[in-house]
Amino acid sequence: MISKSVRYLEVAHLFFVIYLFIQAFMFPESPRFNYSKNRFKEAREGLKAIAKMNSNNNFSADFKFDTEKELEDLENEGFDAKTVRRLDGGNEYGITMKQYVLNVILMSLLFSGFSFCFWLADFQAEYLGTDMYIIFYANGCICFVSGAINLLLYPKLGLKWLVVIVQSIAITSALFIVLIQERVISY
Amino acid sequence: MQLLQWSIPIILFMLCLAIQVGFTGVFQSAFEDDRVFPFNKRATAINIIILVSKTLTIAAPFINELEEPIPVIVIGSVAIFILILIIFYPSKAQLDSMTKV
Repeated sequence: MISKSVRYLEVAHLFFVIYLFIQAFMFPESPRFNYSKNRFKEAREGLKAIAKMNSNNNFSADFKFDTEKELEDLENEGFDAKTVRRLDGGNEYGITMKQYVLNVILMSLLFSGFSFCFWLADFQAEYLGTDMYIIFYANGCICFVSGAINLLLYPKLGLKWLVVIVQSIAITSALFIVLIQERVISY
Repeated sequence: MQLLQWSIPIILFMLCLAIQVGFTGVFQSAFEDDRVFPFNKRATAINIIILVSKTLTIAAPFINELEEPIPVIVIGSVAIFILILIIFYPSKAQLDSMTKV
């Protein structure tokens, strides 16, 4: 049975969560984010606030960003700067493009599936009744061996075929365990 | 008969190993392959992925508490689900087109 006595741990956790929540309001918006949204004035103010926090008295906010200058030049040449759009909407670090959104969804599901199976298989190993330390060492060995196998097979097969092979092994193994547990195969 | 008595730990070891190899492969692909996530997007993408996967994994201990064959059946079902999902993983041609953006 898994222990549910995590109250004190959660109290400590809550303390840090509240601290981070309050802290978020005390900090200026990321200058990089403001810059990506073409809010250059706010980006400069953010940098100024950060310089002040770092006690940097040499910082001067009296400058223009390269992109700001480019946009000004475009406007001076008669172009509308607002029509000059970047594919990622200017959010350089965000997942805004469709292909990356799809990749994130796919990878999230793959990660979740593997993570779920990993822990479930780990918990099942505890039912073997062996010493807990032996299970720890066995898990360590599994990590080493899996790293070596991955190092060998990933560059040759690519992710798709690697996953197909290992999942076929996993399905066969799971089926075998079920057959033994259900006494279809007995000893 | 003697071999069958040892079969559960050995098969369980194989199962853990297979899952771990797949997990490492997916991890490597997300962290390393610029065509899946370019450098600028990687940190955001990986953190979203970790958030989702850790949230869904909360259910694992609860599944583990169920009757005997159910947890292993769930492992097998999730493995089949992953096999279906991997079909949608971008092919080399699709991955190459992403670098041109």
